[in-house]
Amino acid sequence: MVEFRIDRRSGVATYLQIVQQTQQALRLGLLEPGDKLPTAREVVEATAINPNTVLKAYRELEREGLVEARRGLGTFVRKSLGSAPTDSPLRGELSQWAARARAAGLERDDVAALFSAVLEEQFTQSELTHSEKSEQHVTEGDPA
Amino acid sequence: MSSPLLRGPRWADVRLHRGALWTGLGLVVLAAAVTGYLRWAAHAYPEPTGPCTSDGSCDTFLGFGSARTLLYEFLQNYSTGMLLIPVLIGAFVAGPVIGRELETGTHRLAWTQSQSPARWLVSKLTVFAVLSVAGGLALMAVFWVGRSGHEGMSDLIWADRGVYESIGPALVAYCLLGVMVGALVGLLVRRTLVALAAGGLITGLVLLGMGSVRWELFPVRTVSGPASGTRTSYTMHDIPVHSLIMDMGVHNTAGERFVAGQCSPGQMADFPCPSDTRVTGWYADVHPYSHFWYVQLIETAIVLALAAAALYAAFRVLRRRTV
Amino acid sequence: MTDTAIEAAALAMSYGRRGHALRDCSFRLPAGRICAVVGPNGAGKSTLLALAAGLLKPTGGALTVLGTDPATAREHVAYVAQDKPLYPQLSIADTLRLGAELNPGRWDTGLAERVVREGDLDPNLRVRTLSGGQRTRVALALALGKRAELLLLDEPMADLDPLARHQLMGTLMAEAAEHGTTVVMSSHIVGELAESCDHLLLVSGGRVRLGGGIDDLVSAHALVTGRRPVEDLAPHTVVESRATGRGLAALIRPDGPVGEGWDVEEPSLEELLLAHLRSPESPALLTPSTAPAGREREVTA
Repeated sequence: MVEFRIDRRSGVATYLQIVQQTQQALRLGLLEPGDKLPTAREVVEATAINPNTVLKAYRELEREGLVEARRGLGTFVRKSLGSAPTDSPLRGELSQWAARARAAGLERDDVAALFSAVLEEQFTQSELTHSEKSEQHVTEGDPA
Repeated sequence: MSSPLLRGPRWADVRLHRGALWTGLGLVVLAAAVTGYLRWAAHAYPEPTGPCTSDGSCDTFLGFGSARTLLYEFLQNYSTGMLLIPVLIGAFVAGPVIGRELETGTHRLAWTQSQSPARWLVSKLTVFAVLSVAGGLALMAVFWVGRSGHEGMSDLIWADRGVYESIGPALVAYCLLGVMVGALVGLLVRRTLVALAAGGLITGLVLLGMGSVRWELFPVRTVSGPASGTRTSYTMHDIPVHSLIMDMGVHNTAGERFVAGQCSPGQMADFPCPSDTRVTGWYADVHPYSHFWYVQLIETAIVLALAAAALYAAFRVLRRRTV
Repeated sequence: MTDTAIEAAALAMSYGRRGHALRDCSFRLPAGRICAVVGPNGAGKSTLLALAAGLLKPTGGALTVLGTDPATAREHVAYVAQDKPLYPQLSIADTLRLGAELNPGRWDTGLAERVVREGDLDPNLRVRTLSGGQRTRVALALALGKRAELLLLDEPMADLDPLARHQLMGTLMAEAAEHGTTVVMSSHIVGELAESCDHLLLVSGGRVRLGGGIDDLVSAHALVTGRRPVEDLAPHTVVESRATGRGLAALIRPDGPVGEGWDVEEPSLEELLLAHLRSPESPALLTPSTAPAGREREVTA
């Protein structure tokens, strides 16, 4: 069973930390299809975070098609995440872009700031739409 | 401790005051043991009869003239001590039982379980009323055993303070008064020590106050007879034995009462005397022993009414403070 | 079971000459929330919780708990006072027995004993020998054992070491997850509760300044920075504004899109609370789901 590690100072929303750690566990093969995720009760007992946060994360994972909730049984992994191959075209482009930035005289921090700014710009819109569908009663969603 | 009687809040009340309740039980057992022993000793070592000689024919009993004398002394003090019982109950209920809960805030623990503040108070009053009455009755029974029968003490006068209370239902009423006054004082004062002092004091004052007016609660019986001249000693065989004499003196032809020694033969200064100081008769206002039960019952009724008033006031105070 | 845990309408409480602890306090707390009641010391948090627990009689307004009055709801509400009152002469085991005796038919012995056991406490210890944190644990065991629908906890974590705090908060959250218990916790430290709570009541000066889901409250505000005069923020509600460099930084409640020339950021919960505490004159905000029946979105302070 996976354990979630919540970093209160990371600045990343708590539910996103659970989503990301689950995805990471899928990439690393710590979780495979058919595996059961811990119940909301188990997660909050270990992390002391709000139960709704766990449910929100699980709903997000479900929306991404990674897990499915089976009524009365729990939440189970549906498919694995293949890690992005190191020789994928995207990585190649990014690598070239980084080399160009360096050649243009940018420091490491400048590049990181630029990268996060673009990330922010490209991904903010979709996150906002996620967070809007948040409030739902604890006992409704989770079969824990 | 798991009988159905001791469930819920009643279990809590008994458990919280376990120490005090064991002490109370110990007191009753001790009183019974000492009284029983002295009763036995008074029977086993009868008072020496005949002239006492200095050769030791008059044995003493633990330094007293006889076991009977010691029993008498003990019961005399015992009856006085009985007056303290309602005072102790009033102090205990006001201080440790109610005042301390409100002072330390544990009432907020009790009132947020599945019982209302009113049920909390009802439980405490029930438990301590029952235990107080039981304890009072037990101590009265011990006293009764001590003074009954041949070795018993007709010398312990029924109308004396202490003795009077120890042999009648009024003491039970005072015990209940102690519980109710204690509850009221505890709820009002909300401080352990102050409530303890005030609860005991108020109960004690009622006890003392009633003690000084109780013989006015029932009309006296007046006995009288002829007397003449300046004689100041009368034959009073008309006064029933064991009577409590409230007033006695002489009167003139008109029936005006005065004290012979003060007005006749000559008037002493500062005493009110009628103009005619010729003694024609004597009188005595008395409570014969037959009045004992009337006075006891009237006093019991008054004290119970006071207790009921305190009980009502206690619930009013509680209701004003909470929902 | 009702969908409203607590509803207050113009609730007021004054302690005679000592003045008002609460006045014109109106809000609704939906059932099943984990609610943080935050605010400075003496703001009225404890009074609010004691009123909901049925320990005090309000001097004005109305308070509904679990759809009924606080006295009737008593059986379904557990309360832990700030000073964690317990009977010092009882052992821990007897304290739990007390909970069983006073809550017949609802008491959960297993849960109460587990909470005590997790703190490595010997049940035979007398309460008077316990440390502050250990007392808190026993008080929480008593409250959890009652299996209440509404848990009212006044500064529950103040005396606990970080390990015990984490563990007990985890137990609380697990109970809430399993039984849908509504939990109301007061604190004057925000960070302590931010991860565990999904709902917030900011109380200050005896009034509710902010009430609602934490996400809703945060997204209803924006932190704007720009080289513009404050008048340019006209259609929006300005909670607080300060000069920064040659420009202005302000926490606002946007009413429509913010105009050009402003850098807009989402505030953190802490920034939001501090801004409201620094500006007591700013209007109160209750999100729609938490305004009491018949009240509009904005309740002017």
